[in-house]
Order: sequence, then C-alpha cells, then structure tokens
Amino acid sequence: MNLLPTPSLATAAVLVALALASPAAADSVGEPGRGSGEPNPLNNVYFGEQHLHTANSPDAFAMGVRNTPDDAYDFCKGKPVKKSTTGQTVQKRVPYDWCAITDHAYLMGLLPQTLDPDNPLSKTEIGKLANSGDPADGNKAFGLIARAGLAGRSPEGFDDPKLLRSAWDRHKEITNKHNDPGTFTTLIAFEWTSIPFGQNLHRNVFFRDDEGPDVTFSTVDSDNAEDLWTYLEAQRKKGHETFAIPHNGNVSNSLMYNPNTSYGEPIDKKWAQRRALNEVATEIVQTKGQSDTHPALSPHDEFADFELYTHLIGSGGVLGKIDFSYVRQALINGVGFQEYLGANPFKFGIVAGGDSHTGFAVNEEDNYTGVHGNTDDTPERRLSGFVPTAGEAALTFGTPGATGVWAPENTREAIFDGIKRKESFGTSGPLIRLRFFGGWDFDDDLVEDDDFVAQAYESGVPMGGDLRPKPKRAKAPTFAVWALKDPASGNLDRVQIIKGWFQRGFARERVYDVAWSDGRKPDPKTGKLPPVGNTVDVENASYRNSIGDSQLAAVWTDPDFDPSQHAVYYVRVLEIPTPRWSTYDAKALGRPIPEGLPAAIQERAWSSPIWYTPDPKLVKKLDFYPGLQQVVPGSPR
Amino acid sequence: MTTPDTSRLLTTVVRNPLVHFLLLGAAIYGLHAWLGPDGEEGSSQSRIVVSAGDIESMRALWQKRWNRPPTAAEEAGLIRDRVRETVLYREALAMGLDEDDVIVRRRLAQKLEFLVQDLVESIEPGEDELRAHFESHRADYREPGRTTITQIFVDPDLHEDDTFAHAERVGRALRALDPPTEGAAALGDRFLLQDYYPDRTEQELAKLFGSEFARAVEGLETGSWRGPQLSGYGVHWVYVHARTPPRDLDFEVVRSEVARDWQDARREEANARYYEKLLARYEIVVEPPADGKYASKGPEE
Repeated sequence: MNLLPTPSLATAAVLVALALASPAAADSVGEPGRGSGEPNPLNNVYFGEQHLHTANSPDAFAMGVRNTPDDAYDFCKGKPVKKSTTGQTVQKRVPYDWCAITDHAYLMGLLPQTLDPDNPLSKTEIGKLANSGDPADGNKAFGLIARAGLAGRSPEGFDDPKLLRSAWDRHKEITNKHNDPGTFTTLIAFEWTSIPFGQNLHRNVFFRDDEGPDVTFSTVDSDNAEDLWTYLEAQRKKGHETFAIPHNGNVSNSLMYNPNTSYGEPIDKKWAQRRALNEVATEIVQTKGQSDTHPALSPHDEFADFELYTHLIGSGGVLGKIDFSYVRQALINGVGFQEYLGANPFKFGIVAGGDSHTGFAVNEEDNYTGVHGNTDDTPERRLSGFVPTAGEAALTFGTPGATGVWAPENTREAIFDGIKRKESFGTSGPLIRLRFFGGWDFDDDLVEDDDFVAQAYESGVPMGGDLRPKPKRAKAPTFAVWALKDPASGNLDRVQIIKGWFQRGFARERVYDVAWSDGRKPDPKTGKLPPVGNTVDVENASYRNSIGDSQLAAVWTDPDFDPSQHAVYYVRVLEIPTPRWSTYDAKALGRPIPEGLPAAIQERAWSSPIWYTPDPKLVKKLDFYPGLQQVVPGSPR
Repeated sequence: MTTPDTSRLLTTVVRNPLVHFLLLGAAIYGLHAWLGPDGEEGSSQSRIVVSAGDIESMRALWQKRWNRPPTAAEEAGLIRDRVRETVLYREALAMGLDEDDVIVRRRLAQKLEFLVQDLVESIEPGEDELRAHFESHRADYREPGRTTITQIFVDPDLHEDDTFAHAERVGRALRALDPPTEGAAALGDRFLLQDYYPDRTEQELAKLFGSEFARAVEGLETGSWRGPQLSGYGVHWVYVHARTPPRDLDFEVVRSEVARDWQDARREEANARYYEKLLARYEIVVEPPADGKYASKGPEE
C-alpha cells in the first residue's frame, strides 16, 4: 500500500512541525521513545515482562534454579547474567523497559532458605531433596510441594507465617531497589496459583504502590477466584491499588472463562462486574502455549493452529476441555453477557508473558535457553523429547511472549495505569509496535497524516476503549491500525481485525484481513489472501526478509455492522514465517527437527479489544442465550 | 554382615543430602578436633560428645530462626538429632559410602568452592583498593553518551527495486536543505517512529531501530546528512545534531557498584588461583574411551 504522503499533506505537516515551538514537542507526535524527560500525552510504547519466576518459586527451585530476583531484573535491563543451572552467561539482545516478577505466593522465597544448612528448612524432606543436586530428587521435591499445594496446605516445616512474611518483605525491598522511574520499571507482584485437580486457574496479582500489601494470597487461603477478588478489594481499601491477570485459560479445562461461578452457579450481573473490575487483562500467550483460540473453536481461522498446548498441567497427558478455555470465545461471550446481564465479566485487555521458571524473560527465538530450570537448559535436553513429571516435553513449550504498554512515561504508576486502561498488547515474542484506534468519523487516509495519533486520540478511542456513542449519521465504526515490525525480527505478513458479536443468542466471529504486504491480491472468488510465502532455510535455521513489509497500516470500516448488536474488535498482526526456537537448536546440534514440530512459525501480536455497546433502545433482548445459558457441569470440587 | 533391612536403610542414608552436609561438617569438625590441642572429642571412635559450646550454638541458631529460645523438649530433640546424625555419619564414613558417589563428590566440591568464596566475601576492601579498581576500570563506570538525531526513512516496500536510487535522490534533497533539517520530514516516507530523537543513548536507539543501526549512528559525524544507513525497517538518512560524550562518574556515586565488582573479581581470582594450586598437585591422565573416539574435539577439552 502507498504510504507516501501527497505533497499537500506533506507541506501541511511541515507547517505543523514548524508551528510546534520546541523539539521536545515535535518529538511527542507519534512514538517518541524514551528519556525526553517529559511525559508524552500521546503515549510511548514500553515493552516488558509481566510473568516471571525465580529461585523464589518453589517449583523453579526444585528444578535447580538458583537465580534470584536481582538476576531476573538485571537480565531484563540487558545486563549479562550467569545462568545457575549451566553456568553459561545469558543476555537479552534488546533490554526491556519494565519487568514484574510473579513468584508463587505459595512458599515464596522459602526454598532458597533450605540452602543454608543451619536453617531448619534444610532439614525438611523437601529441603533435602531439592538440594541433592540430582534432578530426579528435584522432581520428587516438586511432587511433594505440588501435593501439599493441591491439598491446600503448606508442607510440614514450611507453615510458619512469619517465614512467608519476611520473605515477602524482602521481595518487595528488592523490587523497589530495581525500580528506576524514567528508565526501568518494576512492579510489586505475585502469583496466585490455583490449580484444582490440575485445572489451571492461575492469576498474577499486581500493585501500583511502592509499599505493597503486608501479605500475599495463596491457594492455602483459597483456590476460588471469588476469594482472590475479596483479597484484592480489601487491599484496595487499604490504599494498595491492584488488579489480577489470569493466564493459561488453554489448560483450565473450561473453567477460566466459564459462564458459571466457582461454585457452579450461573454468573449474575454483580459477579460480572466484580470480575471485570478485578481482572483488567488476560495473558494471551506464554511458554505454555497461546490462549487466543483453538482450531476447534475457530474453524475458519487459518492461523488458529499456533503454539497449542493442550494437556492439563501435571495430568500425565489429559487433554483439557476446549470450551470456555480461550480468550476469543470469552471476549465474544463477554459482549453476549453485556446484552444478557447488562455487564461484561470478560471485559479485559491483552498482555503476554513468559512464565519462565528460570529468572530469564527470554523472548528472542534465536536466543532461547529454556524456561524450566535443569529440565530444558541445553539444546540436547530441549530436543530430547524427555517428559519431566512436572509437565510436558520441552518441545511443546514456546518462547516467552512480550507485552507492550502505551503509557506517557516509564514509571510504575504509568505502566500499571496503562494495563488497567487496557491500552496494552501482547506478542509471541517479537517487539512489534501496534497502534489501534476506533471511531465513527476517521478519514480514509487518517494513517497517512503526520498527526495521525493525535487525531485518532482526539476523535476516537485507543485499544482497550469503548467506542463512543454512535452518532446518528454514522453508518459503521471505523478502525485505524498501524503495525511496525520488530527491527530484529521478521517482516510483517498481514494485519487482521477479529470481530465477535452475538446474534440470536449465538456467538459469532469473523477474521478480516485489513492490510497486507507485497501488494498481494485476494482471490476474487473466495476473497482469501494468498499466503505470504516462506523464506525459512530449515537446515541453516535462517530466513530472509525478502518478503513481507516493515510496516502495515489501514483505516478499516466494518462492512457487516449491525447497530443493534453488541460487538468486540481486536487486532492480530502476523509476521512472515521465521524459524521456531527448536529449529535453531536442531541446527546447533546438527540434527533434524524432531518429528511433529513446525520448522517455522508466524510470530504475532494481539491488541486489546475495542468494544461497541448499542443504544439499549436498539437491542431486542432475547429470552434465551444458548451459548451462555447452556448448563455446564460444575467444577468437580 | 548387613541384613537386607540395614542395607536399605544405608542406601536411604547415603542418598540423603542431609547426610552429605553432615559428612562435610563433621569432616571439618573432626579434622579440627584431631589437630587441636585438646583432642579429647576425637580421641575415641566410639565416643560422641555434644559439648556445652555445641548446645550454645544450637540455641543461638534456634533463636535466630524462630525468634525465641528452644523449649526443653525442643532442645532435647536437637541434641538427639545431633547424636543420631553423628552416629550415622561416622558409620557411613567407616563404610566408605562417601567414595564414588557422584552426589557426595559434587557436594563436597561445591562446599569447598563456597568456603573459598566466603573468605573473599569476608574481606572488606580498603578505600585504596576500591579506588584503584575504579581507576583501572573507568570504562565500566561511565554514564553512556547521548546523541540527538533526525532520521528520514525510505521504505523499501514502497520503492522496491528503486529503493536505493530513490534514497540517493532523497539524500541529495536533504543535503540541499537550509537549515539542514527544516522540512526534512516531508522528504521521507511515512513511518511509525519519530523523525527526531533528542539525547538518546545507544541502547535507547537500539530499542527503536535495532542494535546495528544504533551502533552505526555512534560512528556518524555531526552536522551533516549521512546515509544511506540500513536498519531492520529499511533505509534511513541520519543527521546527528549533537553528541554528549560518555561521562566519567565520580567514585562516590558508583562506590557500592565498585565494591561489588571488586569482590566478584577477587572471588574469580581466588577460585582460579586456588584451583591452579590444587591442580598442580595432581598428574592428570585422561584415557581414551573404549572406541578410541572422543565425543568432543580432544582431550584438552
């Protein structure tokens, strides 16, 4: 597509630029990067990791990890760090702007204390096993920890609340030490690791202030999300602004985005409001697969089959139920609930993460060193196909994802607020920059204007927002999207807008290609865009950016808009195919790629959605919503 | 001699890392007792003495961990544990269970390394030493330089085969501008990033344009349009307005960082020296494997 400005527009742009008095002002038109000193009202993108474990997580420790939160923050900042399980020095190519360590609240920081032979914890069975140096013993320790956790208690010897409290204080202290406003942000956080019967209901919990809560909340306290919300609401009352972000709906066995409460009751308006208030975002991809959608849920989405991770954690190979386990279905059911109940429980933004249990947010595919301690820290181990009892074979795991947050400056408050505002997006790893706005009267050539971003904020809403009320004359909403590739990764294949809505009580979805590379023409009969091609040289684990574009932009109007239907829109950006981490490993070992693995993947980014809520007068409410009111057997608890 | 039951027990014991800790602790303790002036405790293999000093240190550890002294019952338990461990430990040693056990070997080696490291950690560097370290590693304690640039983008997806020819034309037009960056934006293609970036470090530019581009910008002269410069996006022209060179920081500002680095350096040195010294006592023979082939490049590895 032609992005070259017409001469008249260009001239106008120069005049605008000249009219702006100071260079700093000129710098704040689009995506001005960092360090200009002043907050940018049009927001900069800050990339970071919001889901990371260190040796302070008991499972990571049992897998031989000894890297500390200090190491983890240093790694995110781009410093070289020695990896404890192998002794190798690891370093990010492109540093992150922010990082949150989300060690499990359960036994947080206690296992490292078993290293001290004078500490009574070292005399516990778990302490002995975890420090034997034998991975098999580590696995046993992990089993003991997991068993106690599943039973909702601390293992013997680990149950003194004073121990947990002082470890948490220490964690907050280290997190605050690494927070450097304007340069590098850290957030006080922890993970609530609810996993009843192997069904993953995990949520990470984040705080806006420097003080943080006195105590964390773990599965020993409760494994019901409703109780976690009560904790969050109590913390807010104490002045600790907070939210939770669920992850791995894909292995929740249909519980994560279920239309029933944890107690098996159909959700009501109050429940929906509570969930939306307390869970402002959801994690769409991480090392244990993507939770965007499953091919069975989105049979017409040709890109749905990406980094699927389908077995329930620690189940020994039980496939999780698909329904209510994926983000896209939840977003669409959410607008259904908006119509049916008058509140949307699944009104969340999008983030991505690693969930790496090493201390290292290794989002770069060709710089991957594993995510589970001593089980996958060398290419040999990763490709061996060996299945540690704690999970799946390393082959099934993907590289960590990355989160971009649009914020006026790089501070703890601004990053927190950006996620809370849902002005965030997730990627499968590459640092793709993505702008997405929705409005009613965007010009067709809005993205060609030099002050595109300023205009879009002025006349529309950014990702994470609600479309303003429809003006009478407006026929359909328009969306402006701009994606810029990661300069160190593959070019872009296409930008898609995914629309979900409810029709006669049923959820509907459609994927629209809105911008694509290389001047391809959609098939005149099917409307389908031909594939971008594939330059991956499998044997050499390389690719060429001779296909795809550096940037893609479009203004798109919904061609199927019905003003009486609740709807939700979000963007998916696809890169051209590039080698998967396993392809780099296979090359390093001079081996063929293990059977069943794709040699190349199309990395991607997902925006937070923009919602349309019709004027209630237009909506003809139904008596029955089959997709929402179907009886789902309650959870087995 | 051993019944199946005791042999199972011993297997459990030898796999037990706690025993490994104790093996080591007791080895040091035993050595000390044997070498020390009053060899009473070590004088008899069949005698185990829990001294008043031992009990004191157990109490102190308990106090440190639980913020209260042990109760009488707890203290009795501690003493019982100590005796039991010592009995098992001595029997295990006597039976040679410490030999040829991969875990015991690794554990002991690690422990020795830790001991050497502990020695380094307990040395407080003197002011002079720190300053000397600071002086000899000044480059590590520098505030990075900053560069102010204007960049103009030529999009290869728009110009395809004509990209470089077009870039040359853009370059000529840019050089004709006066003042040099006024109106420059209009000559480039649309780009999501800014044209103008003031006071950016190389790392910050790398986050925006990739590390190769950022490195290249470091080498560009100021005050003129330079290019065509490649990035992961395409082709750029770059005008460097000004550069703030890296700035040496005062010693006081980076003192704690210097102290940490000094200790890291000493630790690595001490480890290497220590190992060299130990290694010198040994003759190393690596026999070729049965099939005569090394998996790695050669024995020197």
